[in-house]
Amino acid sequence: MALAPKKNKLSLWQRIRQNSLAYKFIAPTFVAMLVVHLIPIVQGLYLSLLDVRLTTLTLYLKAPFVGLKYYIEVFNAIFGIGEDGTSSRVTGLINAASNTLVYTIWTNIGTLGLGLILAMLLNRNFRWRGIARTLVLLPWVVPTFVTGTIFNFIWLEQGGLANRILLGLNIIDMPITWLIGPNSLYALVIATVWRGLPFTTIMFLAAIQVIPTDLYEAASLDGANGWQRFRHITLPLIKPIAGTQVLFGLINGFYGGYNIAVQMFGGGTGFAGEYADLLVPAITRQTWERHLYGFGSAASVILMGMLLIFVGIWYRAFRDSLRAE
Amino acid sequence: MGVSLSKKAESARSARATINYKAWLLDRGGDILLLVIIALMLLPIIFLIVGSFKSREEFAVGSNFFPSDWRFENYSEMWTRVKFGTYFSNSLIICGITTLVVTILASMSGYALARFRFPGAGGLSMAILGTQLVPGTLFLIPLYMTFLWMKNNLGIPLIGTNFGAIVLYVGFFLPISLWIQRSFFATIPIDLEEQAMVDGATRFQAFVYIVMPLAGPGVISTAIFVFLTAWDELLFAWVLNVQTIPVGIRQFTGVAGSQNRYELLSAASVVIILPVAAMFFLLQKRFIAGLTAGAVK
Amino acid sequence: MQRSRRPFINWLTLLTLISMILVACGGAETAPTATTAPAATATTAAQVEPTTAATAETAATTEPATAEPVAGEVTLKLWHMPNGAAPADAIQAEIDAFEKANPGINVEPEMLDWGAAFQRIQTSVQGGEGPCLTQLGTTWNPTFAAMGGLRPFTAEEITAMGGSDSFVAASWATSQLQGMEGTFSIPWFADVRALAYRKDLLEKAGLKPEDAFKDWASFKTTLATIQEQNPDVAGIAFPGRNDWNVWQNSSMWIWNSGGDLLSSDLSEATFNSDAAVTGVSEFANLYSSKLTVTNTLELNSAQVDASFGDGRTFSAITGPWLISNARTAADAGGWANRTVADNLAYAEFPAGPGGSYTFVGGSNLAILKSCENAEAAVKFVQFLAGNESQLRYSQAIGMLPATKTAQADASIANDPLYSVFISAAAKGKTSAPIAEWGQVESVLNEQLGSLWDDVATAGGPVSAEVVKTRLDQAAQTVNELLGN
Repeated sequence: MALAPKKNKLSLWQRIRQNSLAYKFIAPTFVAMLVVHLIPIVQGLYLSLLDVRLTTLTLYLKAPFVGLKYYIEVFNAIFGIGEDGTSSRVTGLINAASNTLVYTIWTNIGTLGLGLILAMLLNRNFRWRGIARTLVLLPWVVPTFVTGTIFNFIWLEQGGLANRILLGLNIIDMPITWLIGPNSLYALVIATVWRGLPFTTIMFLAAIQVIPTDLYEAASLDGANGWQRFRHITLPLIKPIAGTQVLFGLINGFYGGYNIAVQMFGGGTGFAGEYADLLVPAITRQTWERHLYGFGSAASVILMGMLLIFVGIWYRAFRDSLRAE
Repeated sequence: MGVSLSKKAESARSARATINYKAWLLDRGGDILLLVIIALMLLPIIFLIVGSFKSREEFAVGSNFFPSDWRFENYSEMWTRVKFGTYFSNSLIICGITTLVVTILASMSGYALARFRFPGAGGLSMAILGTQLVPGTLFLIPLYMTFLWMKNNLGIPLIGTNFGAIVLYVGFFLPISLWIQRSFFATIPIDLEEQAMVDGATRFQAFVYIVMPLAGPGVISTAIFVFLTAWDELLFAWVLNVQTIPVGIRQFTGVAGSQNRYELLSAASVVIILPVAAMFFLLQKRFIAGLTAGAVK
Repeated sequence: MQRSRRPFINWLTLLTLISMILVACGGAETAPTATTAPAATATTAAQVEPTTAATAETAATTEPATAEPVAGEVTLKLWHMPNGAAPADAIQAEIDAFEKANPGINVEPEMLDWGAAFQRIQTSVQGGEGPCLTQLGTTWNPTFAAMGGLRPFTAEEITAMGGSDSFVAASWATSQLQGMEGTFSIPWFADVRALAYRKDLLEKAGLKPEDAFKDWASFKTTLATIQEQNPDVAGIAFPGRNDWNVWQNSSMWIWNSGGDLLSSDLSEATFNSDAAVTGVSEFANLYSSKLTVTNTLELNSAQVDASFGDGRTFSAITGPWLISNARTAADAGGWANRTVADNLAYAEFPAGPGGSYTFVGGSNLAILKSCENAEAAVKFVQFLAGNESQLRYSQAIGMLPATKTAQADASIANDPLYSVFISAAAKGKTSAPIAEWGQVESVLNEQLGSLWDDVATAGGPVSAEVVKTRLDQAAQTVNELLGN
């Protein structure tokens, strides 16, 4: 701002003229965002009010207007209002929404918790630190669709790597069924955490590294033990970065999981079963298998609403640390 | 007196020794924990690499960890089973150009957002963040229809072409990239540019010759982030008919049992992981430095 | 950035921005409809008025006449899916043979994966650009025909290929669209399901195939007997939810129980009838009765085939491709020299109260309306439907030929393994030729998939009510989709 010190009353036009370079710099980005994000998003919002299906897709925005029909359907089903038999497309969606919540919570706990532990372990001085830091990053370069395929075989009940290790170490005495039934959601969570851990670790490591060591030394002299130092020095200082991570985690949890789920359960068919079906795969199925484009858009908007609620909570929780920045 | 003093010192020393001993023990515990976590993180990758040498049957049965017979020919068969070379080069072209364009545009826009207080900046910032909160499934169909319309009416070949994919991904990854870039520029002291401009450089020259070199680590980390994300994108590529690796690699599997060639899929995966891993190792030091700077601001 | 202290103003700006975009979109909104309108009318016409559809058809058929005769170099683009274990080689062999016989026509193949293929064909139908020829999953034909994207084959062209009677009836049915005259695609190969089993184990149990797989009761006894005699071998393996063949596998139990998927006028779901519920319960309870591989429900088709090849199971629900597995050398990824290879045998599905039917799927060949060299494309389709190509290609990819002539060829008809599939295919059933089939299938897969979760977690036999609830749910959604 130092370069534009005259912040006294300039007319809008003058201010625009003064910042012409900024507009030139922004212009390409603005056009790209307009074409790829903003115009399609607005159309998508409108689409959620239309009955667009395979037969009316060519009409597109001229398709029959149904207003809030889909939203009302979903809300009625959530609150048990209305006719008895609810369409399975709605119940499927609600089920997927609750799975998505559990999935988001667990993947966040997993990546943030493990990421923090791993970052602290990597922040110590030890001989193979450089190599260890590099190795930890490796899962990040494995594409998610490959991750799904690998884990399809790792989770096999008979002969799968996971059960063989668990059995070999006597942690379990009966093989666990991962890919069908209630465990399938956790099979998905673990695969997601595995893929997401490197990024969180590196971000936490970055944050921990810049904490001045004399803070810890001073605390030690005052008799603080390891836990107290962590609780009162490390945690508060990494809160801003943790905030960013939680936001990323929320977005990834709500909108992610498609590639892994689609490959892990059935090599590309896309239905992970009632226990592990997430919203994005469910919406994709409604849209591209059943060609209910309008309904799919409405479902996407509801998904976005869910995320925004959590972003609101997130904002309240991390507001201070964002300001502190 | 002297005795008691030395005694005190001794007890203090022994207390410190216990603490050191405890710390040492804790440290070794940490080592073991780290070793276990790293082993668990590497295991799936080792499984993938080892699996790429198995026979079709052995992979599908999945009971042996190591192949009974190491089939190196999987790596040659894989290129003919699917026209993998095409997908591979498409992905390299698309992701490479996307990364380049996004990095340049994001640097410019990020710089503008960090340094200028222009009318509309606040709204733009909100719009940028807002785009990250919208699910792809909401604008996938409109995007598809828009691209289709552009192709049919304006003759711009956006569907099923590398060009279309680049346009898509550039638009896709620009907001988040410029947000990251912006925070890097914010960490660079403004005095350097002012000095350069006093010396007669234009604002643009100051940006190119002074600011950009300083933002190097940030630029590299953004570039890697963009490349890795684009390299991994399936849904949009699939719907917009772009022939990238995520789409092509699924040709190793199919609807009937006989169509599934997991061992070739693994070999292909190893091949596509290699360039990314190589890039990662080459740029790793700078990358981590860049993320550090970006993360803290 | 102190700016962030003014969130309200930011939000206001954002709102203004959005409203600006809304205005901008208002202009863009009308344009796509205007240009794509012809396609839209064609679609609605196809569904409502047969007369206009007929004109559409004649228009399409006269097109090739006005097109240039096949002279000079013609390039045909062909889209195909990964058929068989070496799909690129298999299709190239056909293309080479065709090009040799038809100089001047070049075929350019491009492989699509099953996950993306539908979408790509849809785009090319709507965008008017794509290949000349495409492979279609048999269930896709009606959808694209209803969208007006396929060029119907003329009566003469069909006669030249031997007429509709020369194709397997169930396969031919998939080339039609309910309520619209015309043949929109030509069956290419048939994917027929049967029960693969181990001859040696059956003999050891002193059973004859005609008794062992006679009906549901004898089938269960057979599986139990085999398991008793061979502690390491399970009775049967079949994929559960994590597979592409979810509704296909269950539908055979519905048909054999005397039920059907849709009503005879194809307007209503009937897969929740009592007979259907009995059939699906019978299927599901193979697992509950512990007659299956313990983890069969989590497996996909490839893993099921592999566990059969590995000798873990006595039988498996699978297709003809195991024949080539059994006859391929071990170093080429086959089973030769294994016990399984010498003892592979097939049986038709055990009959239920409704008889013994199997599922016939596979793929068809269609010419897109946008194809400029339809005449050359027809030639290629005729070549692929010809006896020589039918035999060579179907064996290369481990499927069954779609023509009766090819099936009657000594190399297939006299083969004890293939012959089971021929008689099964003759009584085969398949998906309904309605435009909404893809959606019906998607709903069925979802509810049947969830049923497998129910079965896996039940810890005992699942009750008919559980099955009925799932199928009712699916029926309700399907009926909504069908407009009831």
